[in-house]
Amino acid sequence: MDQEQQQQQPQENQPTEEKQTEEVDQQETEEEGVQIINGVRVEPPKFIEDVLTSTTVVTDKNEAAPESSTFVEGTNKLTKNVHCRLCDCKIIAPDNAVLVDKKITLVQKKSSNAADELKWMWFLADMFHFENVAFTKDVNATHKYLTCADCEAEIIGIHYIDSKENYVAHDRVVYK
Amino acid sequence: MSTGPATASNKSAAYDYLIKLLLIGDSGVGKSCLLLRFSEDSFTPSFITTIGIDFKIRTIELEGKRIKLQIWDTAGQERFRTITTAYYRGAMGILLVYDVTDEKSFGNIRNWIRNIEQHATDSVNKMLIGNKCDMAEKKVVDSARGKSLADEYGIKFLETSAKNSINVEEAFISLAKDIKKRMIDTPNEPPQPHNTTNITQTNNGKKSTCCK
Repeated sequence: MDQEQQQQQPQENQPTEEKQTEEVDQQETEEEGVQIINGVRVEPPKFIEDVLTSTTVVTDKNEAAPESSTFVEGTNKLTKNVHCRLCDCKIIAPDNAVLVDKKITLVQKKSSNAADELKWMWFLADMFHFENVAFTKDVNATHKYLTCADCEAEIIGIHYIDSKENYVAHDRVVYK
Repeated sequence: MSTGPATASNKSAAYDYLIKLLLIGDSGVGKSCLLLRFSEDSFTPSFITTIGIDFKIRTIELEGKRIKLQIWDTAGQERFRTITTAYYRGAMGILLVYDVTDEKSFGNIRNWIRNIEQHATDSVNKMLIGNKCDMAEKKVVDSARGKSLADEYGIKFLETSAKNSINVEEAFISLAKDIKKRMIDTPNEPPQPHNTTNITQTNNGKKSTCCK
């Protein structure tokens, strides 16, 4: 993956109507893309590579499906509250997600070089259907990882930037 | 990323209103910690910390309405330019954070306010936050100075401790309340046309009129 790849537009590309009425002290530096603006060091956004690589050890977890009491048969709509399994923060409220069978590989908490292939996911078409959740910065410019808003302790799901779809792994949450 | 219309009313059961908030301030003032409920755990190094959090979604209940807060964190990037246009777009509230043990971060608040005045909509609700108020023995910016700066700009002021969860929830709720009041309860002010407010800024004549 190319480190120099940029995920955002070049910083010089300021719309004309936003031209400042007071002068901005802007200097180029020796380092590539780095500027000093009003005495503040300004770095270009970094391309963040996924921790999941070809050397990551992936285990097919083949986890059991959620209990039938957690969703409506037929529509697969969530009937319970989904909480973080580590700190109890509420992540999804009933009715706001649908159970789907979709294989997604998520890194394990303890080692970034080990991951689980999981298949039972709660799908949310709209990110604002979450109760509480944290989105990481863009990874590989294709996705963001989801983690608990309160403890940020492990990856619980994924958000795809193009489709805006959100998936939370059944294996990494609890129900109340 | 598209966040949908500001204060969108949603017909589905998920929420009534959507409010976009930003955390602004120097690196190291504890902006990210304001978003963490269990800050002790955050010392565990994990790749999540390495990647960094872009934003959080939190749901609060305010006067019987379900409000979704989308809270963006600059997470240590003092890159005015790269974050400005995109970052401020659609922002309805801004928490300006300094560290009460760090004089420089307090001094820089004026720069941040100037930056906001250049790039955010005029009506955006602002709030001044003096963080790390648990560190009394190291405090160099006393509360009166924080209050006085906030008064000068006509904005609210709170001292918080992310570590001891003092005033953190209150800060978010207070700001959300003001925004709800401005945009939903009394939406009399003319709507802000995006990017067309090409007025000459006189730097001091534009006070927030909504905060009491």
